[in-house]
Order: sequence, then structure tokens, then C-alpha cells
Amino acid sequence: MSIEARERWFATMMESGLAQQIFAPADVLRHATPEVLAKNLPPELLSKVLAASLAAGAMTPDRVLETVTPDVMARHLPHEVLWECIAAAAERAGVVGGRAP
Amino acid sequence: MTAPAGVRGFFVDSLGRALELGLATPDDVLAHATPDVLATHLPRPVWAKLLAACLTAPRTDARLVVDTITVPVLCEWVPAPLLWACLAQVATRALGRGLVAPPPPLVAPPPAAIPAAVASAPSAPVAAVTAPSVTAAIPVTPAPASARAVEPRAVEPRPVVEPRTAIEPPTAELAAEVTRVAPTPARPAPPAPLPAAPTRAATSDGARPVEPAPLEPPPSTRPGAARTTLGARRPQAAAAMPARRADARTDARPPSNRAATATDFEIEADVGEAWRKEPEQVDDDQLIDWSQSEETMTGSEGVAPERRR
Repeated sequence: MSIEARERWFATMMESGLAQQIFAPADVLRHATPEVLAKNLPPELLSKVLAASLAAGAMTPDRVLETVTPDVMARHLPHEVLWECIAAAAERAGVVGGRAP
Repeated sequence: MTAPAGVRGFFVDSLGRALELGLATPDDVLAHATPDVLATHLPRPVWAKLLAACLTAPRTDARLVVDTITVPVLCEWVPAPLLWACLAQVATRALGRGLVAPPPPLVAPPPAAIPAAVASAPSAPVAAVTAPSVTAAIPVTPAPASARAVEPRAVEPRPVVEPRTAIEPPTAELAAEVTRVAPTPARPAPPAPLPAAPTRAATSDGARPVEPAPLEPPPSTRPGAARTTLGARRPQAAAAMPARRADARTDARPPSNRAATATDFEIEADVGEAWRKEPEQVDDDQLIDWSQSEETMTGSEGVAPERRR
């Protein structure tokens, strides 16, 4: 499987999870911690996140995810981190029979 | 027992996209949504549709089943834990966790850099030049490194062009030079390990410009060529043994060098012919001169009396 396909798939899952409210932006940032973001996001995106937060007067998870979209997350963040987020949400939803990989 | 709407929608999106992208296959889905599961949870109308499709299709496989039922319907009726198990399996494969190989990326960089340096070496002599750096990084082959370290410096000014110049001289001159030069290069030959590569290089270079056949012998006969190119086999050539020379040259050079074998024979033939032709010409015109001019007959004591008689 290609990296691109995997990225698109994780982008879809993240987008669907947020849209279906399986997990919220705060849940995402619980796994995609500031350290993870700072380490993996390119400088221009970090700058954009900060600029948007400064403009709004606050940096909230929702505002961060306005810049760090599912596509951006799938492209730059480790997929293991994204999957932990999804798995944790699935566990909370009570649909997990076993454990996440 | 179906999943909540939000979760179901998530499964639809995730599984549907995974199938669409080829990350998951219908077999993956049916591995969890087995026929028993489908029989238990799918409504009869869906089963009727599935049976009709299978009866109509020439072949029944997982893709047909999934395509007929559709992912939304599957996610609507199949228990969420099973869907999750399927999704988790796909994710496991996508993340490559089937293999316990997190360390490889850490180990990969160093070897990647080394082969790059080695790969940069286009030919054998250059590889010898780069060898020191490789050995410096990897102390696995120290012995050859020392030998190579010395060679490249001597070879670095490799005169790939010299063979061409050495090839030029005519055969007549070569005959004389062979007798003179051959022994000397044999002694300085000690830098033997180099010869193999230079000969190839010389041949490869010689292939570009069309080299006449008689030009090839020089590499062994010429002093300059001897230093640069042939070190080990030169002694054989210097031995002035015609038969062995021919063999050595033929062995040293690949069969692709037609000129090599041809020239070898030509050299010897030229030398022989040169010696033969002179007496033949003398027989006709200068026989008398030879007998009259005894000055030329210096060292022959036994012949003098005969002539006197």
C-alpha cells in the first residue's frame, strides 16, 4: 500500500471521526500533543496556527484544527498518533472488542 | 445490535475509503463479517438481493458479496465490534505493525551513506580510490584497504590517454623497443595489482577512437604504458617469450579485443619478416659486397677462414 493511500485513508478517518463526533478536537490534541505538533508540523503551519490564535485572541483545539486539518494531520503527523486517537474514541464508544493494534 | 449513528457513519467512511484506496480488500471484510455473521444480522431482503447477485454472476467471491451488500448496509447491520476488528486489522497492516521493525530507520541511514559513496565510484580504479573512505567507515576490510590506499595514489594520475599514445608507434620500431624496453618494465612492474583494471580501461578507451590493430602491443612494450597499465603481466611480456606473450595477452584481454590477438601475432610476424626480408634483399644485390667488405664480419672467426679460402 502506498503512503499516499494511507495518508488519504487516515485523513478520511480523522475527518469522519470529527464529523461524526466520535472524537472532538480536544481529543485529537490529547494525542497530537504540542510536542508532537511542534516536532512534525512544518514551520509555515506552526506559524499559521500561532497567527490564527493571536488573531482570535486564544488558541483553542477547535482553532488549531482549523489550520491543522485532517489532511494536514494525515500528511505530517505520525499515523500511529492518529490511530491512537481513533482507537481511544472507539473504545469510548464501546465498539472495541479487542485492543487497538 | 447495531452501532450508534455516529459510529456507524465513521465505519462507513473508514471502511469504504479503505476499500476504495485498496488498503482493505473485500476478503478483509468477509474475514470478520463471515457468512454466519451475515446470516445472523442481515435482513432477508438483503439476503435475497445477495443470493440473486450470486446466482447471476459467473463467479462468487468476496468482492461480489461486498459490492452487492454495500458498505453502508454492512455497517448498518454488522455488529460494531466486528467492524472495528476489521478496521483495526487494516490499520495494523497499514501501520506495518505486523512486523517488529521500528529500529530499521535508525540503522538504515549509515549504510545508505556508505553505498552512496561506493556507488559514486564509476570504475575499478576509482573504486580503489574511494576504498579508503569506505574502510574508514567500516573497519571490516582493513587489509585490502591498505593495499588499495597505496594503489590509487600511484594510479590516480592514471594516464588513460597514454595507452593511446603508446599504441601509435609502428611495428618496426616496436620490434626494437620490445627487446630494449621489455626487460626494464618487468622490474618496475611490482605494482602488480593494478594491471587488470588499467587494461580494461585501456580497452574501453580504445574502443571509442578507432584504433588500428597494430597499435595495441605497446601497452606492454612501452615503458610509459608499462608503468601505468600493466604491472603484473608485464614481466611475462618482458620475458620476450613469443608464445607466452601471446597467451598472456589473450588471457589478459577479453575476447572482445580482436586487435589484441591480431597484433600479437603481427608483432612477432613483423619481427620475423623484418629479419627475413633483409637477407633476402641482400642475397640478390649485396652478396658480393658482404664478401668483399670484411669489416662487417667482425666477430666471426670461423667464417673468416672460409671466406679466405
